Amino acid sequence: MAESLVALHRPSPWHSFRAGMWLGWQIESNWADPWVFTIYAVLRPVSLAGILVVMYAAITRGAFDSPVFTSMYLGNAFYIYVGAITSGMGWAVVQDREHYRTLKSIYAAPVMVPYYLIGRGVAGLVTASFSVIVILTLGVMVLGLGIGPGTVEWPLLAAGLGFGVMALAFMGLAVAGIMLLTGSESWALGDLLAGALYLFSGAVFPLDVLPSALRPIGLVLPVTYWLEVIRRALIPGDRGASALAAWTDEGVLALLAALTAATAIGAMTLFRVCERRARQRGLIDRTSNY
Amino acid sequence: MAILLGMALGGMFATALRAAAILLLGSWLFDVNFTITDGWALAGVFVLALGALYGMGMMCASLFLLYGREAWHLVHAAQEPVYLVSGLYFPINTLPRVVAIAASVIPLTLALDAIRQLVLPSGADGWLPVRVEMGVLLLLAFVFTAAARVLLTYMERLARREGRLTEAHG
Repeated sequence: MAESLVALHRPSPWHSFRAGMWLGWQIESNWADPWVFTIYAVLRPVSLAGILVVMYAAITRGAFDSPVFTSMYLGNAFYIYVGAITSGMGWAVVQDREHYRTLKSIYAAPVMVPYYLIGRGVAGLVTASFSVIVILTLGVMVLGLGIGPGTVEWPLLAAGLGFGVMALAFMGLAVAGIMLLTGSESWALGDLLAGALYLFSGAVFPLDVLPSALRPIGLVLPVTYWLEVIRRALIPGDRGASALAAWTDEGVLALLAALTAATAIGAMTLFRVCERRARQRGLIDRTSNY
Repeated sequence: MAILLGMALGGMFATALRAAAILLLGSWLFDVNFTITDGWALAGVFVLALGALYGMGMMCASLFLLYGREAWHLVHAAQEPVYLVSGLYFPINTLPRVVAIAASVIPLTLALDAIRQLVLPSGADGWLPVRVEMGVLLLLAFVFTAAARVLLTYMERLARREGRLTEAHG
C-alpha cells in the first residue's frame, strides 16, 4: 500500500511538464473574456508585421518582391517564439516566487521543477503560434509571399520547429536558473537574451551583414540554424543567409539537432548548479516586494 | 497622485540615464554621427516629451485600480500598435496623414519627429516645425496630468466603493 502511494506521488517529467503547461496556459489566457483575448492576440502580431513592412517600405521604396524581404518577414515572424518561450520561463520564476508566492510550495510538491518550468514556457507557445499564423497569413494574402501548402517542405518544417522549440525551452531554463539566484531585479534577463539573439541570429538580416568579429557568435547559436531551417522549409530553394548557403538542408538540421543537445546539457547543468545554490542560500522563497 | 508624481520623476531620471547609455553605446558601435542644431530645443523636447508621457502613464494608472491584470495585459497589447503608429522605427511622414494626425495624441510621435529634426537635420523629413511640436507636447503634458488627477480621484473613489483597492488580480 505504502509503496503504491509512493509510486503514485513519484514525480515524473511528463506530469511536471503537463502541470506547468496547464498552469501557464491558465495564467496566459484567463485574464479576459475570449473576445478581448482574441483582439489582444491579433493586434500585437498585426502591429509587429506592420512595423517591419512600413520600415522596409520606407528604406527600399517598397521592394516587396525581393527574397530579402521574405527572409526578413519569416525571421521576424518566427522570432516571436524566442521571446515567448525564453522570457516566459524566466518570468515564471519571478511570478511564482514573488507574485503568487507558490515557488516554495512547488518545490515541496512532487514536481520536477525543471520540467514544470519548461511546461510554463511552452504554454506561451500556443499564443505565439497564433501570432505567427496571423503574421504568415497576412504575408501571403496581403504581401504576396510565395508560401503555399503545396510548396512547404513539411517534414523539414516539423523537425525544425521541434528542435527549435526544444532549444528555446532549454535556453529559457538557463535563464530561469539564473533568475533563481538573482531575484526580481533581473526580471528583464529573458528579454535581454531575446534582444541579443535578435541581433546575432540573423533574424531580420543575413549573418554576413554583421561585423566579422561578431559573426562567430551567430554561428554557435541554435536559433540561427533554427531560423535557417524554417526559411528553407517554407521557401524551398531559399539560401538567403549566405554564411550557411553551402550547407545542405540535412546538414543544417543536423547542426541544429547537435546544438539543441548541447544547449540542453548546458542548460540542465546550469539550472542544477543555480538551484543548489539558491537552496543553500535560502533564495527559493525570497521576496523583494517588487 | 503625489506618490505617482514622485515615482514618475524617479522613472524619468532612470529613463534619461538608460537613453543616454544606449545613445552613446549605439553611436560608438555603429558609427552614427549626429549634428545637434539647437541643444536647448533638444533638451526642451526631451523634458516635455517625458512630462507628457508620464502624464499619460499616470492617466492609464487609474485603470489599474479598477481592472488589475486585465489592464496590464491591455497596456502590454497596446505597445506594438503604439510603436507602429508613433513612427518609432520610421519617419511619421511614411504613414498616411490621417494616421499621423491621430498618432500625434501619443507624445512619442511628435517628440521623435522633433528630436530627429534637431539631431539629423539633413536626413530628417520633419512632419511639423519643431516649435509647433514643442507647443503641442506642452499642451499634452498639461492635459494628461490634469486628466490623470481627475481620473485617479474618480477611480479611487469607485475602487473604494467596490472594494477593489486590495483585490488581488491573480
